[in-house]
This record gives sequence, structure tokens and C-alpha cells, in this order.
Amino acid sequence: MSDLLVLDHLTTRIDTARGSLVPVDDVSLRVPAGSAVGLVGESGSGKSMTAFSIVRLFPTTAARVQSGRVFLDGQDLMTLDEAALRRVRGRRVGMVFQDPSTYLDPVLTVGEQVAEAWAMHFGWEGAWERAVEALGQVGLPEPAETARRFPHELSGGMRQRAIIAQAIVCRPQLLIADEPTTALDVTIQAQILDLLRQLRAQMGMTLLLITHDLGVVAEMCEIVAVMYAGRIVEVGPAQPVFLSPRHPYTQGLLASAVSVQQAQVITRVMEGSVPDLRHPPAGCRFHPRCPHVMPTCRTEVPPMFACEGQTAACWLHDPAVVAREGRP
Amino acid sequence: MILEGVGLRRYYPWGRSLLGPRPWLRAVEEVTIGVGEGETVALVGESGSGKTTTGRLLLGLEAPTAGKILFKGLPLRELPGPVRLEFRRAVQPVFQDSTASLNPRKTVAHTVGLGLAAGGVGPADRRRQAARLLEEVGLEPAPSFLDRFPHQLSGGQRQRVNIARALATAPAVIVADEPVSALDLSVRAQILLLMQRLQRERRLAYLFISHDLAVVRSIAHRVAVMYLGRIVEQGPTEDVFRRPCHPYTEALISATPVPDPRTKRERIILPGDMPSPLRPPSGCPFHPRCPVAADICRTTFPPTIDLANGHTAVCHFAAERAAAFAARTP
Repeated sequence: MSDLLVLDHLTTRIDTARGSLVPVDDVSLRVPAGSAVGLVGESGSGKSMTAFSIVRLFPTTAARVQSGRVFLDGQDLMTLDEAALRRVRGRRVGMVFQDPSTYLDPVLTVGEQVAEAWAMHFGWEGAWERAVEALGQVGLPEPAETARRFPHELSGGMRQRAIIAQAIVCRPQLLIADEPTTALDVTIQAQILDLLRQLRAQMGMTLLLITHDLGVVAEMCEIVAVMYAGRIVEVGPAQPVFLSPRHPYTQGLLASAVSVQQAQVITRVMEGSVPDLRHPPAGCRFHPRCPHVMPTCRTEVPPMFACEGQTAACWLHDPAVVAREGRP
Repeated sequence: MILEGVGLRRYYPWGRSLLGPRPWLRAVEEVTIGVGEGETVALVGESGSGKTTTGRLLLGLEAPTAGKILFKGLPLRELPGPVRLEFRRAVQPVFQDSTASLNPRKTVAHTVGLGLAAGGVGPADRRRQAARLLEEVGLEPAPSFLDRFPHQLSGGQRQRVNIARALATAPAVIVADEPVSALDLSVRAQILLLMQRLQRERRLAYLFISHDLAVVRSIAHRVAVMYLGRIVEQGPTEDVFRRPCHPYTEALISATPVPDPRTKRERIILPGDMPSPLRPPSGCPFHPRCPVAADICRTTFPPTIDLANGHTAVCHFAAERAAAFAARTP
């Protein structure tokens, strides 16, 4: 399977009056065509900024991609100017964000907004018909009627469907969904996740799903990348990452999660919290919270080590370091 | 039971109607729930289910439209002054938004000290006792936290301060409304562990309000599931999760993502949204979304079916469903 999206040593920085920070630090990731890849992490892990960096659409003007490259279907997006990038956004890369109300214009009907997303790339001729078709595709009842309604006339779940219609109306190759169900109730979340599964199957769309919810990733994605403080710490197929995690952070995260299917109590927790990215710890950024910390971890950034099914950025997988410093 | 609500209703007047009666938003309908010493009772449901309003009624922050609150068996409305004060000390809240719950202009020592003052601790002693409470909730070294302002704390630390503030009056019951929902996974686990330790050490009772079924299963002894202002199923946690006898409970469990990629299960996907509490559906309020609704559900409000062990479900077919579970597990 070829890779539709490749992030190659991507680094994004934000310069503010109070100092600069690097929310995306040397991130490399491959997203095979047709797959669903989950980018998971806690707040401040840089997972959303990674998504923004792909299409260089940042919530703040202080952010910019400092180095690294992004390939979409072999094309280097970093060489594109703003005008060329606009032809990629929406057309080849669809985007869905967390809050369904802030991404819809309250004074335009949902049909107009979906039609506009199409017209940006293909002109207004036939745009309304295409918008109605897309609203039907995302499971909105009576799409021709719904198209004439305003966002406030729709429920939260229906608004999120309208946003998804906007994202898929141009039939993009890649859909980036950033916490698409976080603001929704669990029964509505189930509807939206089901819709994303259907759209993937029908349109052969590749999905990059960004979420803090390990359950959502486990249900939706074949490949998982775990981020911590701006870096990917572990990446691989979902089964080995969830069942035999190789990075102590992934291990701690999974131990903190509870399942609705089992009677279990939390016994082990990770102490501390995600570091302030203005002052990230040296070496491995997880070392202040790591139960297995070694001297090397405090000074040297760990590279990605290949473990059986996955790769993990942890010195525990370097036999030389473990032989020298590891606890027996 | 230390704290009980019996037949609680809370209606809000909603908008205006020129003809006919003024519409009421029925946030809470016929809710009966209680917590005993050292016990965690969870109230679960989606937004608009009435779980937060129920919590506010039990805290005495709002008066019920009908029904009564019992504190140690005595009706709250008729409590004589001194017992009313005791109620105020004994029943404490912890809310979801740890920032909004703290005065941004007051230090941690001041915030925690208020509760101590209410408990009759003199000014000289307050700082020392506040430090001890901070230690108890895991903020160490405590003296370094006393003079901090809320913005100088992380979300998890702020929630610990909120818990310390609640503990300052030596309560018997904490009504915790989504106390961990705004927290990251690793911090959420820390706070849940803390709450469980405090419960053991202080024999605390929790009314734990949450939308997260996985968290509820891990922390609650008993659980009550709310839909459209009513409790549709309640019972011992493991009973309810292993044998959900109301189709809504079953759908909620099924809709909750499981952090294990091997999980293969049939998903129950409910159609539509929760109806407006201004115009609740006829018959069983769940029938428009229910995957197994029959004719009777559209016309007749279901009875509360007793399924033994304190497990009840408000569904016409609860007994049949319980029997089906019994047949499946010998």
C-alpha cells in the first residue's frame, strides 16, 4: 500500500511575546492510502498543531512550520505557495474540527455553506445540487429541506453532520478529523463514528483522526501514533500498541483508561502532568514522569527504535544503554 | 441513607404562550435517589437528562417543584436552624469546571480557609489546617501551595484544591458533578484514585454525576441512569452493567468506545436526538429512539419493574429482558 500522506521531520514553532515554543517537534508519520490513522495524546501534546501544520492553517498567526516536509500523494506541500495550497485545502484534504457551532456561519444556510465549499474549487454551477447530495450522504434527513435551514435550527449532531458534508463535498482523498465527536453526547458520537466508517467504505477516503479518546482510536483506526509534549513517542498497528505498548507513556496512558466492558479499578497512575511546552524537559520529554528513567534519558533525545510490531522512542529499547544504566 | 431525594420534580417556566397554559420545562420528573455512608452512587446520562439539576436539588441549591429532600431522614424544608447548618457543612459540592469554581483573586489558603471558618476554626489555626488538607489531597509540599492563586495551578491541582475546600467542613456527602470530565486521562486517573482513597479514609459518600459510563463503572457502587428527566434504570453497578434491562442503558454501554482494538461487538446506534423536555413524547419517553419499541410503548407510560437486588428498570419489557439474561448465563 502506498502512503497518501507522509510527514517528514515536521517541526512547527510558535513565537509569542512570552517566548517561543515548539508544539510539533520533529514529527514523522506515514498514512497509507485508504487507512485510518489515529493521532492520540493529551492536551498540549501537539496533536492538533500537527494537523494544522499539514495544511498550514493555524489558529494563530504566530505559528509557522519551521522545517520538515509534508507529502500528499507524492507532492511536497511545503513548496506550494498560499494560492496553490488553497487548491489543496478542501479539494484534496477535507477537514472537520471539534466544535460544530464555531465552524458554521450563523447567517448562512447550511446548504449555502456546503455549496460554497464546492464552488471554491469547481464554480457555482451545480453547486447547490452537489451540496444537497452531500447533505444526504452524511445522513441528514430530507437533505433538500435541511439545506435551506440555518445552523441554529439543527441539533449538535446534525450540525456536525453538516460540517462533515462540507468537508467531503469535494470528495477529498484525505479527511483530517480533529476531535470530531468530543463535544457530542455518547449516543450522537456513536452515530458520527458510524458515519465516518461508512464514508470511508463508500468513498475510499483516508482518515487521519486526532483524538484524546483511546476508545475512539481503538474502534476506528488501524494505525496509532501516540504523541507526548510535541513528539511522537510510539507508532504502529493498533493491536500491538494497545496490547503490548513499548513506550512507558503509552503504558501509563492505557493503565489510566477504564473500559465500560470490565469491572476494573484504577490502581496505577502516572504522577505529574504534561510539561509546559515553553520549558520542555531535556532529553526524553517524558523522563520526569517515567518510572524507568535512566541517566541517558535526562540528556539525550531518544530516536525511534523498532520493536516487534511498532516503533517507540525510548532508550529502554537500546540494549547498550540498558546494559550500562538499566536497573537489573 | 444520609441524603435522599424522594419523588423530586423540578419544572422551569419556559417562554410565553398567549393561548393556553404557560409551557414548563420539565428538567426533573419523579426522581427518587439516595446515598448512604461510604457509598458512591452515580447518576449517568447525556446532556439534558436532568442529572445536574438533580444534583443541585440534593445540594439544596434549588428547591424542588415537588418532592422532598431528606437529610438523615429529616425533610430539609423543615430542618430547624442548627440542623440546617449541619446540612450545609455535611453536603458539599465539587464541580466540573475547576477554574470557575475558584475565586481568581483569592489564594488557596483563603479558599480552603473559608470552609474551615464555617466549621468554627479560628484565624490562627486556619493556615495550619488548610496545609494539612492540601497534603491530604496530594498537594505537596503543602506550604508552597497555600499562597498560590488559581491561575498558578494546573487543572488537576485546581481540582485537588476544590476537593480540599469541600473537605474543609468535614462533610459526609460530596455531590461531584462531572469532577473529572475536563481533565486529561492521566490526571483523571489521579483524581479518581484520590477520591477513592478519601472515601475509604473518611467514610465519605459520593453522588457522582457523570456522562462517562466507563468511569462510572470503575468508581460507583450503585448507578442510576437518567433520560429526559427520569431515572430509567438503577441498581448495583455490576448488575446494571452486566444485565442492562432498559434498552437505553444497553445502548449507552454499547455506544461507549472501548480502548481495546480486539473488541468486536454489535453496536446499537440510536437514531435521532434526545427530544425536548418541553414536549416529552407520549407513553414511554424513550420510545421514539428505542430499537425495540412496541405499540404499548407509544401509548402507555411503563411501570417500574423490580428485578431483585435493588435493580429496577422503567420499561414494559424489563422482566423479559432480565429473564433473557438469566437464560444466557447459567
